Amino acid sequence: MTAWGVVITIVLGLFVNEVFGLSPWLARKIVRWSARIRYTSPTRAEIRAEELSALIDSRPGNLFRVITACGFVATALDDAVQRKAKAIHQEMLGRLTRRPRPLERLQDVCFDIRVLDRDLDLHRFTGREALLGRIDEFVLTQSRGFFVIQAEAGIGKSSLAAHLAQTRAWHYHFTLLPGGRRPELARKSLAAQLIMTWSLEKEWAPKGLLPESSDQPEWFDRLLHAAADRRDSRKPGEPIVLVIDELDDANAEDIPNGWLPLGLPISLPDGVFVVATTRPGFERNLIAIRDVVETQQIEAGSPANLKDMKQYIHNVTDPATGDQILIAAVKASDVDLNWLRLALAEASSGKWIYLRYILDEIRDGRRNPGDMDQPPADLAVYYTQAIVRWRGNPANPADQRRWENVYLPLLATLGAARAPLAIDELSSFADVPAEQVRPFVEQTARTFLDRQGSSADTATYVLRDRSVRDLLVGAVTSESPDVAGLSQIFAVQNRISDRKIVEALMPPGRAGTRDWRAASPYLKQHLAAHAAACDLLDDLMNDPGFLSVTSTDVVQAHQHRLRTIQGTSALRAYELSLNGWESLVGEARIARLAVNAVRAGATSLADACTTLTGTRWPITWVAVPDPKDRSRAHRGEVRSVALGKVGERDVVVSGAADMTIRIWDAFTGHLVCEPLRGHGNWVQSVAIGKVAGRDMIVSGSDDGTVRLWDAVTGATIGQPLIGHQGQVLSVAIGNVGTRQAIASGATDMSVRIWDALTGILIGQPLMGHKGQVQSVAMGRISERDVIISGGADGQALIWEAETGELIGRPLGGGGNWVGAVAVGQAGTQYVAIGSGSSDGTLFIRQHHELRTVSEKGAA
Amino acid sequence: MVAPAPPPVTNPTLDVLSVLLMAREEDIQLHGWLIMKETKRSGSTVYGVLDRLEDLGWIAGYWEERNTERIKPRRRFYRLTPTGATEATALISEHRPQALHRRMRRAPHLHAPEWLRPHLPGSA
Repeated sequence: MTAWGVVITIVLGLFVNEVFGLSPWLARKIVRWSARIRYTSPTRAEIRAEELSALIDSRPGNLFRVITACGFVATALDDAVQRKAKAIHQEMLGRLTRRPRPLERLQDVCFDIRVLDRDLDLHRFTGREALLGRIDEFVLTQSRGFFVIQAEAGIGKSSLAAHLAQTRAWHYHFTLLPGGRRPELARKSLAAQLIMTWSLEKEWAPKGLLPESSDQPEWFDRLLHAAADRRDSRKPGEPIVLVIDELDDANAEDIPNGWLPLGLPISLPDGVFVVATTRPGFERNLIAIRDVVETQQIEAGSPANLKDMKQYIHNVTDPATGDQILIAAVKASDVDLNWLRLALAEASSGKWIYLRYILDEIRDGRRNPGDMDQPPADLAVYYTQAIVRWRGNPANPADQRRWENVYLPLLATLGAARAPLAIDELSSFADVPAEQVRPFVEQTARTFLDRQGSSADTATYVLRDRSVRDLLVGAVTSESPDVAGLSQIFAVQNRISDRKIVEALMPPGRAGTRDWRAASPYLKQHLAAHAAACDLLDDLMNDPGFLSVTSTDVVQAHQHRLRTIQGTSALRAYELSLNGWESLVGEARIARLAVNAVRAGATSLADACTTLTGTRWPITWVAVPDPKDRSRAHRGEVRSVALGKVGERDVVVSGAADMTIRIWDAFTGHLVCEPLRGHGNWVQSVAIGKVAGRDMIVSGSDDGTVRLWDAVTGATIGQPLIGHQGQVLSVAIGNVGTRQAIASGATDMSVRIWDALTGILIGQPLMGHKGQVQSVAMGRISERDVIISGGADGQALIWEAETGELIGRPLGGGGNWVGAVAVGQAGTQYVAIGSGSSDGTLFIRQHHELRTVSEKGAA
Repeated sequence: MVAPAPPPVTNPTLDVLSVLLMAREEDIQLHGWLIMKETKRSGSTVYGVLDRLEDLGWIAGYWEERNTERIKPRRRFYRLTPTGATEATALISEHRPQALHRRMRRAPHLHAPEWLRPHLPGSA
């Protein structure tokens, strides 16, 4: 407890004494509170809250109870302060070491609304006086609250919102802008405007960078309050207004309970207002709002709306100040201007988007201004009419083929697309030749589409309006049989499109054989979404290649679409792999997935990893440190493993830096017994073998000893073998004549041989290496027991075990460590000795003839 | 190369571990207040140690069983896990060999079954 804590203890204690008297009840309250601020984990906080109140009850003496309780609070406050300080420190550190993400800079996160001016023709914005007056009055008379403007698509909500943002200098967000539907980007854009307007950079965006926590809705909520406070001190009475256009079009995923769409707070600070536009029927998503809500509808057919539209038509066709290209087109057609104005007003009947489309068509010369027949009943009808027009004559086979093979797949693909598509992408997704795609997007369906990018080769296309997207994914209900029928067609076609997009994006083959190296940005970002829509995500989840290239967010956003146990297990394996994922590439990701697939029981994914890596040695089990079961795996680097038998059971023995030796069932991976403890430092080497009929484990450790263990009971056998003057790096079990023996190699440059039964040193230490002994092995060559040792001096030496004499010349002789040696038989004829060297060389010696085989990487 | 997380060898830790070992030896249900009394250390110190030991998996906590209609908060008892017992014995024998043979200064009723406790001297 710091001095600060002590002061709080005393002050709080006195205060409590003075005001409330000493009551155990209060002590309990205090102690509960302390638990909740001390612990960040809610579960633990709850446990401690109850437990500590019980503790207070156990404690005798009322005064002492309160003092004890205050002690808890002081430490908890201390902890909380330190936690905060640490978080700040880490944030600072993070800023120094990490390059800011491109979207973190204030000026970058603000969406640019200049594009709206062009699309919405804002400088000719007309009318809406009554509604604007109502909004201004709301802001003036209410202390805070939400003003919701409801209208169907195409009635001019976005124009109104843009007009408000421009003329009132209010903060704004438009979900129709590219990326605008993503809640965290929306909040950041609003946050940047608030910070810059109210000069909050110092606390909220030091050096003009948004902190990492700015992704969170809570952060934005706190910022709103900070902006309101700053306003109160600088410009009291000035409202802070956020204009949000098409709030209903925001992505609903990832919004936790208790927040509005886009992660806006359900309650605002005083003097803060939200003016939002939505389509009708969105009210149920705003039910959580705690402040005043006023809703206004814009009806297409209302007199005010019709009057506004009439005025706009007049302005845009005014020969002096109107749209000159449009006027030229009208003049060329010889249509009377006054008649045209009336016809336009009547045909559009208050639907601004329809008016915009007609005007665009006239401007581009695709519609005769004299042709104003059949005003649409609603927008879907308007789109339907256009699409039916493209469909041509059902009796004409050429028209019909074009519809089925070109228009229908292209339209459905545009409806299903999750991002703007280039012509070649459209061509591949819809399976339509590029030369037929180009005239479609550039002429036939141009009015439906927004084109981004200047040159025709790099241009991308996306549906301009949500109403048409609704129709093309089959989400429109209508009384008109044409519209309903078309919507049904597209409902079916949409699923086909998702599947076709998956097929187009997916490399050929099956999980484990597919080549994902050429994955496009679209694939990485959206393939999981398309696959989820047509229930193919489970298959993808079992493909390690896909998991190694896909965007993480999109997989997690669609995880609820997983249908099979294999799919969800693979998801778990994937999530286990994500720590530090960004820093891994290619094979390293696959290797990690392979391990975690086994860990999570995702057998299909594990099989696919095996196929992909082409290994004949798939992973059977893994033992990874698990926070939930700390007793299972090693808690330090595993330094050595050995394979052997305990009785009839095949086991794996491992020695690790946590000073323990563990014995695992080789088939199941279960621990056979409690870890073997006794070494006082890292266990560097283990070996397993039979000594006098007893299964025995030998271990060498940095503590300088060699220990013997009963492999069945885990008990130590005899005293540790002491003699080495340094860390024991390697041990082996074998024979010396008729005796069973243990060989050990250590940093003292010696190899020692011990009697396995008595633990007594056999002969003198074998001295010959000029560096530490890295590895030892025991075996038989030509009826003689030998010991082979590899050293840091780059040599592998062969010793006659009984006499301790060197046999033949040393192997190697280079400067690199010989890290591994082995003795064995190759076939029936040869006795072979291999030694792995740290430069990648492998030496093999047959009989006594030295042959050097240089195989890089073989060691 | 990452060395294994060192066991938290501080005096409070050793105090708490030796009390836990004694309780294990004598089969006593050990709760927070008792640990505070035995170690003569403040609640926040004791709980700081308990938090860490729990994170390491050396101890496990379990709730007191009692009648559900009683609204009083439940006590929470702590015992060493098998790993914890091994680790604690190793630590104590290394740093406080004499503590292994100490007995708890406990009131006799702590050992008694729940139903008997109210009848024993010293109970509230």
